[in-house]
Amino acid sequence: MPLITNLDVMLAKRKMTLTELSERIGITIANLSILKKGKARAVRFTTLEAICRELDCQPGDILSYVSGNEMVSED
Amino acid sequence: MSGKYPFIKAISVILRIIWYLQWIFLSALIIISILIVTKSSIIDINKISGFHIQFEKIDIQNITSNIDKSQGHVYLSNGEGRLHMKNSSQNFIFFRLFNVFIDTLLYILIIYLLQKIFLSLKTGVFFVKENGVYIKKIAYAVLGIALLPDLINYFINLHITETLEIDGIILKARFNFDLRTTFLALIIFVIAKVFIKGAELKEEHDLTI
Repeated sequence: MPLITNLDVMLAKRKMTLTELSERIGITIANLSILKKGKARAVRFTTLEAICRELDCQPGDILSYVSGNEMVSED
Repeated sequence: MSGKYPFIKAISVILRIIWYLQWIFLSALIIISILIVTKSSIIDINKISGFHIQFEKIDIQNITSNIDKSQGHVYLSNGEGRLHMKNSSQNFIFFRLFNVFIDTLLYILIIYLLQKIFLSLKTGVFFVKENGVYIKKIAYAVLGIALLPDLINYFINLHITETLEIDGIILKARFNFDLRTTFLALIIFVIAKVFIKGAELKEEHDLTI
């Protein structure tokens, strides 16, 4: 999928663990893990809002678009 | 889950028994076929060649009244009447065996797929796309059961009408379309499609964070 999540990068920048974030926003670690691995099909605005609030960032900091060609060159 | 729903366990056991019975039946069919092909003395081919040929409609009065006359009418297909054939071609037996083979294989496939679905019921992971695919395969198998035996019967009857001569009777082959089973197959097919779509929506819902 061309959309990739930079949740792990933001967590590292904020020196926060996934468990801590899950406790703060009330979402299970399993679901956050799906989001972190980029396996999620969709993200609710409420979830995005909560993550941005706790990590003090913009949605663009968590999600980024990479075109197909870029993904191939990266591989 | 099987503890909560003992009927699932009971049906699974019944399916398992039917599964083994089907295989025993298929094995017996294969043995009989081999014996016929090898012209073994164990099977009296003359007795088997007196196979019962089924008719959808058999006009007994017509036969009895016309049997000594020049012509009569009989419609060949599955169902109500039977005619015992003597000194008939060995080909009839192979056609019939082929018909039973196809039927048995389709039933074995259905039982196998049902067992898989019931296994997922036991484990609790039921609403998945795989089960929808199994249901769709069952629909195809039911469609096969609805059409294939009748189609093969039709060709047997065509073969009979071309090769068998009975004084005073004109044999007619007719395709007996099993509408009810075909409808059943279509309904199962629709259910499978809805199930697959439902499983996809569930998956999407599960993966929405």
